[in-house]
Formats: sequence, structure tokens, C-alpha cells
Amino acid sequence: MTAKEMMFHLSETFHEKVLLEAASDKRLYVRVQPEDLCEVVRYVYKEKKGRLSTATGIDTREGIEVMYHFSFNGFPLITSIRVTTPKHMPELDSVQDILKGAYWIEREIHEFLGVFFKGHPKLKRLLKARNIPENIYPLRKDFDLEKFKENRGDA
Amino acid sequence: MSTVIPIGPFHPLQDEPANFLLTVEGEKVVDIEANMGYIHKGHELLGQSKTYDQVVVQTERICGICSVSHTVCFSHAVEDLLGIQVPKRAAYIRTILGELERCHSHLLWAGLAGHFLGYNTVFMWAWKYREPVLDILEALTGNRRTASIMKAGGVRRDLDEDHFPRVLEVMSTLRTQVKMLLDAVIDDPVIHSRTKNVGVLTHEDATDWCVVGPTARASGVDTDIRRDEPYGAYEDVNWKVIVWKDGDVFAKVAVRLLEIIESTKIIEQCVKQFPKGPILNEVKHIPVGEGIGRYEAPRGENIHYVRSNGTNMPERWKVRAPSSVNVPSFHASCIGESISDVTITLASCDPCYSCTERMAAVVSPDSKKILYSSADLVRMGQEKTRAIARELGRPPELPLKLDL
Repeated sequence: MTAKEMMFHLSETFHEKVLLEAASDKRLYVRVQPEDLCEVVRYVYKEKKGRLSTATGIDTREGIEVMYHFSFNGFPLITSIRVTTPKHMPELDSVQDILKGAYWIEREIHEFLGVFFKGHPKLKRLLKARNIPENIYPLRKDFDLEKFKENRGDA
Repeated sequence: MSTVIPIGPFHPLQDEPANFLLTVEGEKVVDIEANMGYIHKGHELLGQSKTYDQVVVQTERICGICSVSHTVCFSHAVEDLLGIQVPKRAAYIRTILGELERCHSHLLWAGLAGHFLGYNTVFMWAWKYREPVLDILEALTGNRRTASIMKAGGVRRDLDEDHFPRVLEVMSTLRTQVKMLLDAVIDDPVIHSRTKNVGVLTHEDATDWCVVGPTARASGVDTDIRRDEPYGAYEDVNWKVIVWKDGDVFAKVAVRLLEIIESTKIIEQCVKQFPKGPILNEVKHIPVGEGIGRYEAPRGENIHYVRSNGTNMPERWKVRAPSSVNVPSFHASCIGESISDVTITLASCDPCYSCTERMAAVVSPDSKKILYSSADLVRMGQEKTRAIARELGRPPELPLKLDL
């Protein structure tokens, strides 16, 4: 399946809920609203047999952007579902109950960017060093390494 | 009464120190929880302050074994962002080095799996066969590992074609040796009873946990980035994707060993039809945009995401190595197994090894007294094999003391 065919299927199913942009034949970027995220993820995983390769969290000017990259067995397409959540209160629905593959990556985004995933069973520290406090998010653009070192006392 | 067994953080099953807490009732494992991050290096944040060429050097340091995989994967992401192709000769060089990496990585795993099962002959053989592969890598690139040869747009250095006869020779010997190893594994009733129906990851669980690579292919998931999104020389050569249905440790052993044979075929064909021409498609400027690169590393699909803001440094660089989706599948494959089978089940998805074993202990929750160390866990696994061998009336292998 090419990006065009996937665009057709998605716009047939979700109409104006999805904003589609095909970067090439193999790469499709889909922007959705936070409330439609689970619905679109469920469709791509169950109906289109997508495999959640990973999710990327990015701190942008508009807010924290999370992208779910779906791969497919048998053809080269990657469908990335893009969703933005406000920086002052980043909160998304967890897709962990749809597919367990999101179990670790949601924990990772939670600890490095501070996105709270509603419904995740164990949103605990996974990778971040023990000496970094829970409320400090190293991948945010306002993370100040020098200041952090000073506070920790090893500058 | 349930007991909690910590495995790790430093344990020969893993390349990276990771701590697994097994909750056991009697001999059966009822729950597993992972604590990671002991060597989280902050690569993604560091990469945002490096230029694209410097990031390639940095990607090589992510993993000691997959140094080709990560560099090629990052190059794929940048090439996807730019919409360029690499020259044919560069694609072949990447394929040859990538497949040599797969051979040595799978042999390394086969050896350690043999050790955990108490088959130290397999361990000795597999690591002996691995050595000529590393010698070829050294002859071709100058280093056994960390070739420092990749670059977005192609490769930095050419390969010396004078070494190709030796490559062909080693590949044909390796194929015979691996076939012999495969016959030994497939026919051995003791290995059968230790690995068949042990640590089964069903097809449903494999899809649900989104596992990749040999772990997925042993569970009947037909996935291979080399075929799904062909790069390098994979479209020009004959090879097949190895898929087994059973999902147990035995299937994972077989899939990996058969993949070595496929790899040797790919390398032979690449060497024979090695094209002439340039090796680098020079990249002058990286525009604003985003790209995703994928690569079939020995352990499965690697994926790198790069977003550019038009400067010479990436705005965001995301790395996902295959182990980070394969390791959580222990939730599905370890629960219900007995402790002596857990070592091989944990090892079966090849979670990047290191040669460090310092601490791991079974602690009684009441008295905090150490019951078993991690060496004991490996020993329990080996003793079970010897017990089965005795039952079957086969001469048991002598235990080998090994300081890892």
C-alpha cells in the first residue's frame, strides 16, 4: 500500500478529523486532535495491521508534539500519527490498552518530556537517572543543564 | 508465598545493565518487572548539539555490536529527509558490512545461548567461527567493530577488492560450519527438551507487543525491513526471509542460525557483482524537514527519526533500537516459566550482551538473605540440561568454569 492509498482510506473513515500530508510514497504524516488519537491508532493497528515502531516526543513552540510511527509488514509505508498537547498541561490518552507495544515508550516520553498518559497502568521512571527529580524533563527546550548541575552541586 | 528475584543490573544476559525483578511462587514465575536506565547516555539530547556528520560518529557509539546498523539507519533518515539515493557501490558496501555484522552478532548469541544451556562446546564453536568474520571486517575497514565508514549520502572510504577472494573463502567455510552446528542443534534431544515449548511468545503476543526481527520471525510474524523497504543491494540478490511458527526458544535459535546461512549467500552475491562507480553523493545543505530511516539490524528493526530546522544540527533526533521493543515482550514470554528456564528465555530475544557479571541475587523477602546469585541461575540452567542428558542416557558434558 502506498501513502496515497492510505490517505484515501483514512480520509474515507475519518473525514475532517485527520489532516494528511504525504512526504513521499513511503512516508505519511497524519495530524489528529488529542480526542481522536485512540480512534485513529485503533484503526491503523486493528484494520490496517500496523505495528507501532516507536513514538517520538518533541518540544515545539505550539506545545509538546507526540508522533506514533506505524510500520507495516510487506510494504515500505510508515504512517506517523501526530498529536500536539499544550505545554502547561501535557496530557494524552494512553494507547497502551489498544496495543501493549506502547507500554515502554509512553513511560519514556512521560519521564523525558512530562506528558501524562491517561490510563497507563504504570507511569513510573524507566530510563531517567535516579538523581534527576521527577519534575525535571531533560528533553524540553527550557531544560538548563548548567543550572541543573549547579543545583545538584557538581558544576 | 511469593519471592522476588532481582536479575541484574549487571548480568551476562544483557549488553546494557538492566534489572529484572522476577516474582516467583515456588519454581514458577508469576510477574516480571524491568528497571532500566543504568547506562542511559543521553544520546538524543547530545545529538541535538552536534552537526550531522558528527552525529554519525556518535551513532556508532550507541551499541558496540550494531555499529553498522545505527550509522546506516541514521544515514537513511537524513537521506529520506533530503529525498536522495546513495550510489550503487556505496549501497553494496553498506550491505556487505551489514551482513557481516549480522553473522558475527548471531554467532555471538548462539555461543552464549549454548553456555546458558550448559553446552559449552556450542559456545566454543560459535565463538571460534565468529573470529574469521571479525578478521574480514578488520581487513575491509581497518577495525573489527566500529568501522567509521558511513556517512549520509554514501560511505567515506572504499573497500579494497583484493580482499574479496578471502571473503568468499571465509563465507563458504562459515556456511559449512553453521550447517554442522544447525544439524547438531536440531538433532539433539537434550536441546529439544530444554528449548522446545520454553518461553513461547505466541503470534498474538508478538503482534501486540510489536516485537521485531528474529524474535518476531520465530513467532510467525513475517517482517523484515530488508524486504519490506529494500535498501542497499537487497533487491539485486537472491535471499529469503526465515519465518518459523512456534515462537519458542528453539525456533529463535533456528531462525538465527538459518539467517547466518542467508547472510553468507547475500555477501557472496554482493562480492561477485560488486559494481564500479562513485561511493558518495555529497550532501551540501540540509533543508527544513523531517525524515525517518529504518534498517534491519541483527536484532530487528532499527528506526531513527530526524527533524531539521535548516541549521547544521538536528532539531530532534530519536533513536529506537530493536531491544527496546523486544525486551518488554518478556511480560508475555517469561510468566509461567520455571526459574531455570528464565535465563534462556531472557537471552532468547538477544537483548544486547555485555561481558559483565557483577551482581544478581535471589533475595528472600523476609530475611533479605541472598539465596542464589546470578551465577547460580546460570548453573541451575546448566544442571537441568545435565539432568535431562542423564535421563536420556547421554554422556553429560563436563562443566566449564567461566569467568565472564
